[in-house]
Amino acid sequence: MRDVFVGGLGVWTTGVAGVAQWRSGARDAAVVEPRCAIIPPRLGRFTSLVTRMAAEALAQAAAQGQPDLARVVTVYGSANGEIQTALQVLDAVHAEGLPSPARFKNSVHNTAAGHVSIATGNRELSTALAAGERTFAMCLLEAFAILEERGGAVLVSVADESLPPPLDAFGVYAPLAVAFSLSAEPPPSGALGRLSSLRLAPGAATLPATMPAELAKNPCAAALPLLDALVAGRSGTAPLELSGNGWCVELASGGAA
Amino acid sequence: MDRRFCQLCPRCQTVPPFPITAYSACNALGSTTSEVVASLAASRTGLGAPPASFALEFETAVGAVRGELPAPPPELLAYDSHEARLALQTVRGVHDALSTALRRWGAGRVAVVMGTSTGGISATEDAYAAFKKSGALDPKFDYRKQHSFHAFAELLAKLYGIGGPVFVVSTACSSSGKVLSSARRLIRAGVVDAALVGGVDSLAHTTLRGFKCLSVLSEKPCRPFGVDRTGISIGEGGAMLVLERPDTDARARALLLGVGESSDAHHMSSPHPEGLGARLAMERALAEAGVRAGAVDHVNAHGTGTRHNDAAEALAIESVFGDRVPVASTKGFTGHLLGAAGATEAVFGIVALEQGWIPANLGGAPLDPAVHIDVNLARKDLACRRVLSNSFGFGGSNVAVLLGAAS
Repeated sequence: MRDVFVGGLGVWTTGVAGVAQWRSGARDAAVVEPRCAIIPPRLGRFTSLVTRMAAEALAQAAAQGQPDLARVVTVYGSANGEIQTALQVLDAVHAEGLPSPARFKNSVHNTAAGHVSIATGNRELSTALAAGERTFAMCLLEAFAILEERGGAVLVSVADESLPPPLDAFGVYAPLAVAFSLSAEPPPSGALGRLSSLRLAPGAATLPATMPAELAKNPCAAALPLLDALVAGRSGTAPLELSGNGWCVELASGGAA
Repeated sequence: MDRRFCQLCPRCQTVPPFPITAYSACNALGSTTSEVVASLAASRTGLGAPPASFALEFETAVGAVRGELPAPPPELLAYDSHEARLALQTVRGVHDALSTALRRWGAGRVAVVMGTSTGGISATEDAYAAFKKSGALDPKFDYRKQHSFHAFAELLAKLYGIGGPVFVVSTACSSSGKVLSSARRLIRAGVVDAALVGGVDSLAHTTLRGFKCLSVLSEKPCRPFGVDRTGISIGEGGAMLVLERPDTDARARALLLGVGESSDAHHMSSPHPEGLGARLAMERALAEAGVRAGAVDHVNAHGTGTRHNDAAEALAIESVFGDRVPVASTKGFTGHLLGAAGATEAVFGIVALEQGWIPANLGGAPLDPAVHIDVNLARKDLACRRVLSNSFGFGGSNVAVLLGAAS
């Protein structure tokens, strides 16, 4: 597959409103809700945290990478999707027999994709994937394949919110969204990095030891090593899985050969 | 990377045909592909009363899979769920071709790309109901392996020792139409040589009660394009296909000619009133294949049976094909299979190509006079060279799959 250029980044987690704050390492206790200006408030009513933070991270990456929001292809990923909304639906079913229409229609895995496409008037291909701990790796693979097939630009946004009780028995972690603005050609604003050799190669990459403890079990934390490397301007083999032992990609900082 | 078949045609910018070497289906019409096709051919609906275990306090008709379904083998029993069992039953129908593809290409050169709308939500519904009573989760409940969207795809990969990419597309009711595009991209990019594609969804309180709360769940079997249509009927099941690179020496059952994907950019749960996104999807599928609308012999409509969806889709079909192509929704046979609908209806399209007949649009009579397309009310013999299948979902996600005869 052809090399892919990274033109923009986005990140949101509790205490971190964006990439600059992520880079600084400082946490702001006031950051408990994504800004999510890309979705107008009236349209975004009843949306979940996972939708709002996926949209927020995507908007950040787009603001930096500058693809045409009305035409760019979008790839969303989440291991657990709208799991908080799904449990709210079940609660309503137990209590009243029927869920609320607003909750139900916002319970699909592609809720963020739907809202952002409506907000931006984008009628292009949009998809939403899930692959457990390989969700980010598979989203990046889908983006590479789309760019190989048609060129242009692709926004990738992966997000997972905390598992609600009682499902938190299967993992406790903070919410996280990470996004990348990717393109087949170097973006006009300049490339942050150039990706190549996306592959399944156990043992090829090492997971950094700097993963924040509260995010370590979030499936989308698999995107953090690549985000960190791009933020730090590092080149090398970036792992795309939390195990650090599976899918990986080569990163050349700044788009160098 | 082998680029012999990966490039667009330099003259017309079309995508080459990709062979589908096997297909299977399991739904309310039968547990095996031959049972499903026999019921379809006989114009016999699979819709009926919901299983007693659902204890619904409202009336509706559903497409439930009847009979015993296989459990995972002992070493994979942690994946056991109704969703998993539907997947295991469905994959039996492509077992030989999949095994041959794995031998031909190697385990690492085969992908699993599946579609689902709700994953294993029914497993969590059962676990949550028990939790509400006892305050504890059943120790046999494993959220990751029984509910997660990708769990059944992972189960299939482990069962067959598949080492390539494994993921699910979950874009509501367009999911398993879009997998054909994702899998073909992986082959075109040289990542794999073949893929097991398809979709699975099971009956669940979430969807039955969810569509009820939206006031679009029909009390009686759905009647797509009918003047008296009152909404959808939910179904369950799975469908799977084996997609291979164009230079395979396996015998093709049909060809994947084109896939058009689009977004409505209009509303989360209502279609664009003029079917704009649907039209774009159909036009993109045709353009990708380099096929003109007049060369399509049959359209398998999304046709859910709601007033707005059918009206919008009819306008979209009319705008692309006029009133000359016979159209049938098969939701009156199976119910709406949600994330499994796209793959299931692609299989029905292949049956039309192979066997030379198109199914009835059950429940369509009397037709809505506002629908100006040729809705096919009774099974009809028709030699088909190309069939198009539509699937549209919440979030305004649309896909149109164009299939061609193998020879």
